[in-house]
Amino acid sequence: MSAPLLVVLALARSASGVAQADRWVSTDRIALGVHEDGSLVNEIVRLGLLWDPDGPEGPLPVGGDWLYAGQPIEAWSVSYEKDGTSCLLVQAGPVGVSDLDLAWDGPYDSGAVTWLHGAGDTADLRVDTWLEAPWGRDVAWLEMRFEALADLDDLAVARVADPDPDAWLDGSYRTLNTAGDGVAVAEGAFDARALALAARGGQGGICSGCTSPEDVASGSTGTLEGDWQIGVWLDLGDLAAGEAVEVTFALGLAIGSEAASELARAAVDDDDHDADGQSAADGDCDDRDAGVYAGAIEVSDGVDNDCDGTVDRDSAWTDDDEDGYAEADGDCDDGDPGVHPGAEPVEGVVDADCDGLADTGDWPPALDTGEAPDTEKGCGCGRAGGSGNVSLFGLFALCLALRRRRR
Amino acid sequence: MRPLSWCLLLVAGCMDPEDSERASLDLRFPAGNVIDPKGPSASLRLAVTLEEAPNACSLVWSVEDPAGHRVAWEEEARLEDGGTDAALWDGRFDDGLPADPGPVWITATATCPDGSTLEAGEEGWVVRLGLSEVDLQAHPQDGGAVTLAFHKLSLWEEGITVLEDLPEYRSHPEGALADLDDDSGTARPQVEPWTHPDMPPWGDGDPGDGAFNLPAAFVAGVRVRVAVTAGATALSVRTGVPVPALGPDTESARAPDLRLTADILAPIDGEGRTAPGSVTTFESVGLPSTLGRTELTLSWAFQSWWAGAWHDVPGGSRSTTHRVYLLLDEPVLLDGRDRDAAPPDPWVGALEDTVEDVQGLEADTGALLDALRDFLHLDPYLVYNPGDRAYSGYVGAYVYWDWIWADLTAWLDRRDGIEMYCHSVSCLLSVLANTWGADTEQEVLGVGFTTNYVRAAGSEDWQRWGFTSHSVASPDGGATIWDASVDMDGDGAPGSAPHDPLAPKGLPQAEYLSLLTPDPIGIVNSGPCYVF
Repeated sequence: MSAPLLVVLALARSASGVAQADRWVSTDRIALGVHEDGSLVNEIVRLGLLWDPDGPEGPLPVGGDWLYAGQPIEAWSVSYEKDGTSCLLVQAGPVGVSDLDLAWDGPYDSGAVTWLHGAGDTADLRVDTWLEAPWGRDVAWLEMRFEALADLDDLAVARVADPDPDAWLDGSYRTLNTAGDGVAVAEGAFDARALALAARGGQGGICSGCTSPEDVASGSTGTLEGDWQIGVWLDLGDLAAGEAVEVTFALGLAIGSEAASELARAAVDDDDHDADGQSAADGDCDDRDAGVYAGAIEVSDGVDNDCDGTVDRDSAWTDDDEDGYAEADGDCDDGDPGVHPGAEPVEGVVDADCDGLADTGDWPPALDTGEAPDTEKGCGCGRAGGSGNVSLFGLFALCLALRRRRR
Repeated sequence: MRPLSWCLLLVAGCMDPEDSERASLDLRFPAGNVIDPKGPSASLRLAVTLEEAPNACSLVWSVEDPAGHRVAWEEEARLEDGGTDAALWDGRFDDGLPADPGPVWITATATCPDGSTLEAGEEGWVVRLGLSEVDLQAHPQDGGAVTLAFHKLSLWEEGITVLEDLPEYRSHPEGALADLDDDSGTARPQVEPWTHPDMPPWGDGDPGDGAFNLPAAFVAGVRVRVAVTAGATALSVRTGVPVPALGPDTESARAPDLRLTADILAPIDGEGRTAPGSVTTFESVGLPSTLGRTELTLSWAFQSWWAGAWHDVPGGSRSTTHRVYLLLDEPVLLDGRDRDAAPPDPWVGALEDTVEDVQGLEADTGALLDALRDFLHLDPYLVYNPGDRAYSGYVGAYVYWDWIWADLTAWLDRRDGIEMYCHSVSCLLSVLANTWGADTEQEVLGVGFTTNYVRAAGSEDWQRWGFTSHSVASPDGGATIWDASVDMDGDGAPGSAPHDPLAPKGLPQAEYLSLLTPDPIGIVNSGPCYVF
């Protein structure tokens, strides 16, 4: 209904507010947070995950049935050997246990995917990590890129997540952990909400207090009841200085561990994160933005939408042929400077002035009167009727009659 | 200037004079001459009749536009004398692309065995139709329109967005090249109703960021006015150039007359005549008289005037669905903006949280309060704990506070714990009732008393408590009472076992107090609750 004003009022209360330093990605289904003040879940947890298992259309579409992952979502470890010495790099959040001071930027939101980016380096490794959540889906990606700054051997990486989220349920939550090839999953006893973690080519493991890939690798793969962490580890082999490797972990959230596992597995194999129909291999130069892919419509937004290597060229708002007009100004061929509103007729161009009319010829076209196949019969074009001629008066009368009929 | 040749509808070509003297070809539009090629089921009906021809003739149809785009096809069957050929044009040319808005010239050419040709031509009109905005408004006699609000900007970021100056439905982002088509020239799809209960479609962005279809709220049973803005601008698939919906020459006298019809709405004036960019207002019959949520689906049809009658435009049908909450009455929430609390507008999240329990209720205060009381009392996340102040707070002295609020945001998230004391419960009940339009206050009872046996929400045990105070909700200043915190012992002996559970819903004050306590107590404070 119409009324004078749209009011956007940020409540001043700060109990569950968001500090300026916080970073998070949030869609209609899921939120991943990197919080300097721990406001997402509680005072202990600095990083977290929120999930509404029913989605906005579910029977309880409010926060009451959210899942809160209680352990830092940005929790991972890397092991390797350098010059015969074993090394371990542990990351458990920007203000938790951390051997790496990640600098975060974002959040970014393309409308299809929201994400955060963190980066940091040691003497041996540069690490980039992305937390990504797509709109409308119950998955998230935890992407990582490791660039060796020295020759490194036997590089392994593991991520862990603690699926014991629901302190607010007063301890009524417990976990039923299962693990298998490439995926680890935990299911809540309260209502079977489940969190699965997967990586292509990885191995799942269940452990407690696991802080290294070896911990995860040696963890249980069976079913455990109680408060355990799920983890997935990957053997990345050797990296020479200057080489880089990229790894994608995926989270799946569902009711039931099998459903969550399937989601996570599918997400790992999903190479079209923004669901625009193209993967990077297909030519999508930004798989986080559904408005960017090879062949997309270029719009004037400072982004190379069509992946042709140029920004905003060919958009409807730019005058690409420098004739003073863009498509938005009515230029019906923005690749031809001779074609634009007000242009003079151009040979070979039907409508150079873009007025919707052919520059030559009449509208509507004259009816084709045809040619007599046998002129010996003596007929002449334009003859009709008994008299053999169409009088101007007759045509005019016909015109009037038909004009009246049309409305 | 229109050349004389426009009027040539029949020309006998080179035929034997005796055969051709009476032959004619008559081209007609059986259902109007207008088509929207990007709309659903777009096919312009064409018909041509051959008369007084000595032999069957082959027939070719062609359509072309002023810029020279063309399509032609030959009918398989020959046209007999007196026969009629019916054809359909899908509004596309031979390049497969839809015609841009504006006139097209349609020709039927018959070629007869003797080599003679007959041609007939007529002007058709390509348009682009659609709904740019739909605004659900109060009926001037009935009133009852309610402004809604979202209480978050993202999944967990708080911030109130009041939906005051927006239509419920908008097909396009602001600043778009065209309101009817997207930037690739594809027709904009119907915008589905926004169903997220907490945040608006634009999150913490701007309403102009995209299309939207927002929920609305009205008092149950009222009539609604629906103001519809017809789309004004299309986008040429060929050139990427914005084009007026009726073509470059919109002012042409030959441009079609249009009107908009809706299946369950009536235009408030005239026949619903419309033009691109104009607003047409319709009136509904009364909305359902029961409370809850309804999906109002409206089927729209653009029609064109042709040969003395209105015809549905091929490709001119549309449908919009609107999510509407039906309230008991206009909400009576407090305006808390000077206290950093919420403005007095119902939250979609609060309506959605309770709608399953309210759905289908008769518009009756008692029935509504009964349902909301049970919603709270039976909520699996609520456990009554006299010592836990979750979900509310107050300013001033305990019990005699100056003002009190319900922490509705936290309640909707249920993340501050599942235990709450009676003042939180009664405040929430009051706020939820006021959200649905039942003017209900919190009533504080006291001071200092021992209860009879009561059973707390979330518990199976019957207990007696020593209370400083207790809180309930009432729509009539305490004359009748609803209590969501406890069940009472209704067996006539509330001070002893056994216990017969009685839900305190609409109990007269004296009866309620006698069930609650043997001690003499009364109302010591009352009022509505602010909302955070």
